[in-house]
Amino acid sequence: MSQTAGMNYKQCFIDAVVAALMALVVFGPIMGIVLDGYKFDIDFQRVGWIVSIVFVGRLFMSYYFQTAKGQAMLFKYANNHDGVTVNPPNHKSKMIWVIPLVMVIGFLIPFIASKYILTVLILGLIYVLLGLGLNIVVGLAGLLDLGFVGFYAIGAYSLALGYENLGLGFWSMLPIAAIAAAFAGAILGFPVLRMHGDYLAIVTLGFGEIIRLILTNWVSLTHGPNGISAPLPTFFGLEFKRRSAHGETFHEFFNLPYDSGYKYMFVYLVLFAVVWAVLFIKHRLVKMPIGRAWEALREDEIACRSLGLNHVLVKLSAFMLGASTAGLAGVFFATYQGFVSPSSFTFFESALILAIVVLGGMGSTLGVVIAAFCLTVLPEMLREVAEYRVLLFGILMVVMMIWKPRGLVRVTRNGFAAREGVIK
Amino acid sequence: MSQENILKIENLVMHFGGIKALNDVTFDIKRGSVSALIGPNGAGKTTVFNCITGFYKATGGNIMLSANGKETSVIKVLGEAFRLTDFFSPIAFFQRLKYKMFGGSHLVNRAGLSRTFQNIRLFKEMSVVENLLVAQHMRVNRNLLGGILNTKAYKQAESDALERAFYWLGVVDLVDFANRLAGELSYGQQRRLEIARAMCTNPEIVCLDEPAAGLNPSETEALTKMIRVLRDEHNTTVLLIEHDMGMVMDISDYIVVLDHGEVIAEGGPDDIKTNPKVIAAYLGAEEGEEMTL
Amino acid sequence: MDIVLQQLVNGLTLGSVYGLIAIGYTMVYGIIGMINFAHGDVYMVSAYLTAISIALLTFFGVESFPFIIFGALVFTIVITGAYGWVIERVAYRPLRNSSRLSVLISAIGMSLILQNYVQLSQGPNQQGVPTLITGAFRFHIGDGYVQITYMKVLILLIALAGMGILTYIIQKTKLGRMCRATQQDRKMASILGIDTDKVISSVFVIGSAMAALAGVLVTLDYGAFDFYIGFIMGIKAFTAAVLGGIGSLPGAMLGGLILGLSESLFAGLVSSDYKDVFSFSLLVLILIIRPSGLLGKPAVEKV
Repeated sequence: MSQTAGMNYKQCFIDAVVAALMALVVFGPIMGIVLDGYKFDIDFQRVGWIVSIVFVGRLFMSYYFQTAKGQAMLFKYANNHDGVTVNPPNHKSKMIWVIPLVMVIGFLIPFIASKYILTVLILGLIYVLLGLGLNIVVGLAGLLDLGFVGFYAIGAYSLALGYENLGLGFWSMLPIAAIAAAFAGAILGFPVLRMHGDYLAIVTLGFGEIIRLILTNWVSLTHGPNGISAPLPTFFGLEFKRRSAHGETFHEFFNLPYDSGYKYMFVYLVLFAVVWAVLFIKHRLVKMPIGRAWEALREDEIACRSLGLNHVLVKLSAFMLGASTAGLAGVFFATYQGFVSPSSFTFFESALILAIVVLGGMGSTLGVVIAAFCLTVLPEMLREVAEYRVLLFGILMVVMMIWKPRGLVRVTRNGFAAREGVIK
Repeated sequence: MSQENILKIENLVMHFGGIKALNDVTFDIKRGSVSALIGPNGAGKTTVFNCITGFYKATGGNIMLSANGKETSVIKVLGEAFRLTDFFSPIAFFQRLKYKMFGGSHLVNRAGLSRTFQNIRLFKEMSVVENLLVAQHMRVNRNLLGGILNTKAYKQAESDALERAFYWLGVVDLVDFANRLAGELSYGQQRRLEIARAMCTNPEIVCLDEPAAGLNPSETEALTKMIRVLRDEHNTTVLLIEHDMGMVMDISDYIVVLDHGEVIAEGGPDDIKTNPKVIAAYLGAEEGEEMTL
Repeated sequence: MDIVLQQLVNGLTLGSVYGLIAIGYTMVYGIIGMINFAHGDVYMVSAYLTAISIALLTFFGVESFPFIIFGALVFTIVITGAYGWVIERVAYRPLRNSSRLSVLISAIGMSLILQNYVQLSQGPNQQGVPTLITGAFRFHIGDGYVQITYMKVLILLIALAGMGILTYIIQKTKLGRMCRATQQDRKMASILGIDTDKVISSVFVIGSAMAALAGVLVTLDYGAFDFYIGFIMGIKAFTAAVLGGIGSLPGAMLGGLILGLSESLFAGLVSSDYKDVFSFSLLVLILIIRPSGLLGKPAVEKV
């Protein structure tokens, strides 16, 4: 399209009017007429606002895409190859010094920060774990798992139920919960993963709901909607309670005054260490044969099969590893809350975790960490917008998919130095 | 069964719904040969290919692959329906169950057969080297713990895999492009990379689906040389589908001609050139009319 | 015995509702190969629209219930259709050439947007509509009886009519022919001069209209609804679509009926707490045993 025709202002205007009319039809009844019992209240003001916003927005869009800049942007969008670049061999990031810095700061935080900040950070770190787990499944292996919260719930309830029924504490349940979640992932994944990817999305969605329904309805085991209490971690057998039935408590042993902040400090530090361990493992996995196989599977499943990869088992390994990470996160969630109930594990949680992965970039570890903190810590801080959270997540997902489907952080791949080819 | 034939196809039948794509196809491929599967469009060449490589489950017939020192029934490893006799013989039952659960076209590749695709299927957002490393998945150290801890054995296996990858990059003349994304390569380069990737699985027989499609004459020439290298230096049997008759006649030791889902002729290039049935199939002429290819 | 019969009657109406919603999934899947996650929420929006239209009509003094039902049907179907159009235009059309994963995520985003937008506009509490039609047929069997409310009869009749009209549109009209052509081969259809974007839009409108029909009927029968009903209903209807063979219209209707009947029987005879678990398990089972569904054609993978 050339610029010689000049601006077509009439077209801009028509587009905008059509969009505004459509907005009126769509938003008018739902936003304008608020049900109140069998009667209704009228709120035309906000309809007016939204229609004018749509009108102005559409007018601006039509105008912008007729300018040279807008045309260039459209062209770029139509030919988008953004995202992946290959680093030269032996590439070392200039930002590598950030890692020890973050480690040190992160380690020192609990000794400085207030209890409130600490709890917010713990929540953020739990979502980092969840984001990393889902990133393996969605970002690397390209499997859309909408029931991720189910594995999270399995982790959390493993801790609570293991403590209540088997008397097992935090430390023994941590690995068991991860294994239990992975096992659940295997049972669900094995039959489903051989099918078309879209079905997986809906089956996992159903799985997440089944887990929640079972937790709600199996009252004799889970105490139903009332929830169940979960134990705190112990420090070499020392409990973080004011008084303990069995032996000394943490503050008594160290001759400290009792402070409920200690337990959060401890949970934070353990979680911090686990997050780094998971980060390291994930960093290695991406470079390993299994990581390459996941990505190859995302790119082209048929080609993978022609190369001797068992696509079901490769997918299953991603699915199980993701699930076990969610199981770990669940244990931390349960111990941090001291209590679990089915209402913590709704589809909304799955959607939040997915939003983290989408925003952070499919396959990008750094992006996921940043996104996890943005999406969990920011709404904590800005209480006023809390009720618009879900709406924002939804808009975020749609806009990101249209604008930058690979996420905000660019994905880079490692280069390999050329070497002498030998065949053995 | 003789060791002379690497691939034996007997009475292969393939139906899609009511459409009979293949109707009793029988031919053998000799070990160490370059064989071509030709025929007019819609003759069923790609269907035969997909049956051989395990992407379609044939409706009937038998495909035996004798490579890696054993005989493999391609149809069996894809997983078959249970038969009544299975319920009386636990071994047969479990074997069938095993293939039903874990079987699939990947087992065909592991048995020593690899393939390329008509519409190139590379891992476009992975680098060229990584494409070749994925192909060596079954040969590298897949131990999770070893990889995470970066053990010596793991490093050695990765290094060997890289060496093999660069060897094949050298063969297909892509060493300079090793760190480019596969999707960025030109069409001809992508075709060559796909062949290198197929060879990285260390097959005894490689099936090329229209390898010369979309290549210019000099690229086709290079491809012809490459296929000869595969046969002569790596003892690999090559089976290809191709429309470029010049190339087919040039490199093939043996040609199978398909039409309407049936083998209408097979033999050396010279026999095929003069076979009246083949000429009729290609040119739509009546049988017996005088024509030359 | 009477319990079984009663549950069969309930299951029949429930199943016809599932079938109506499943049509939206199956048509969209057939034409662009995506699961429209927001479809369940479109159904939820239609429930709100039903209540709003009834409130409006009563406010303007319309008293006779046939007029109210007719008015609610027209109002809800038209506006829900507009929702379908807008959703496709905003969230899916820009992604026509993107990966399937992107489209799916966009659809989930749309589903979240709809849920939260309705929640913010109408408040989080449960809403309801007055009961318009009362009374029932009663059939005595032995000691017990089977009761079929007039509303249930109406649901069956209107659902059947809706399916009939849809079948007519798809089989006999020009639009239907274009839909079928686009479903077979989108590229070829556009080469032949069919505006495939328009066809896809109209499929979304038709699917949403069918969901709206279901929304009106269920709302009138059941009375209460909230912004969360679309989620479960969506999965159920999707199960129905898969059961019947996704992409197949008669399959969606059949799948809906079978799911409705089996779910009602399960709820009546085994446990109503676990009826959703039953439906999801059914979905997984179908996918394992017969992924192409009852009336679907087995998909041949293109290599």
